[in-house]
Amino acid sequence: MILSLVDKDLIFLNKKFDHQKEVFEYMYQKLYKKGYVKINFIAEILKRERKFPTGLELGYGLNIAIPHTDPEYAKESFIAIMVLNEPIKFQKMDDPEVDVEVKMVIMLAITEQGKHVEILGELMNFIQDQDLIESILNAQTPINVIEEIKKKYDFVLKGLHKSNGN
Amino acid sequence: MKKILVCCGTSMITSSVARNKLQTALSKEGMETKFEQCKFTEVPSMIKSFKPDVIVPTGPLDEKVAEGIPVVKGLAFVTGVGEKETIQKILSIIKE
Repeated sequence: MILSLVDKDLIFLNKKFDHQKEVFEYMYQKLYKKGYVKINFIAEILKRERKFPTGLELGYGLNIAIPHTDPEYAKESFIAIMVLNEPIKFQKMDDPEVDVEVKMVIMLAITEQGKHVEILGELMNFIQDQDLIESILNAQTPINVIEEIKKKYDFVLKGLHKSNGN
Repeated sequence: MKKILVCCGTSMITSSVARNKLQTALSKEGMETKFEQCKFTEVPSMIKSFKPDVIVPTGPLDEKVAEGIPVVKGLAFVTGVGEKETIQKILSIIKE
């Protein structure tokens, strides 16, 4: 499910920016050009991040941010991934007073109401999977990233299959 | 029937995740619960209409708006860090 939302043109590796605003603007340009978001998406996502920051400490020594806003500003569901060369400051979701140094930004929108919970569940498993996140951090090309995600999910699917068979 | 209000910033993304995980965990414990989900700004009106036993925000909810209702931070459901402890905390509140 998650794989169907990952577009290789929305995977940005080895990027260098000084501020989260630049990250958002870069990602927005690509998203807008490909028709994923409406023109006001950028203003909304900036506003939302200021008010309700999305930096997360994942507990295995890695921090990510998951910027998002109301689905009404998106046209289609997507998951966009950016890996930064140098970490950028975000603020913590549960404590906006505290900064976290973020190396990966996963921007997302889910426009389908029905699949909402299922996709989010998968996404949370995804970000809690240290091996997968590290393999994405080390990936050389967007295709590599997709392969890593695929590998993970094929493995899970095969595992499920096996346990059903027993 | 215990009532749980899960809330987040605006888009229902993190509160959906928290609600789903918490619902699964509590039903495994055999607890009968009722859930509602809202934005932080809607918490005061939800307190009046839904009358929750516990409030679970995934972000910084101003505890003053909770009007004395116990608040348990629910970000653990998003990051996976401290999930069990958070479930235990919520269980201990609603089992009282």
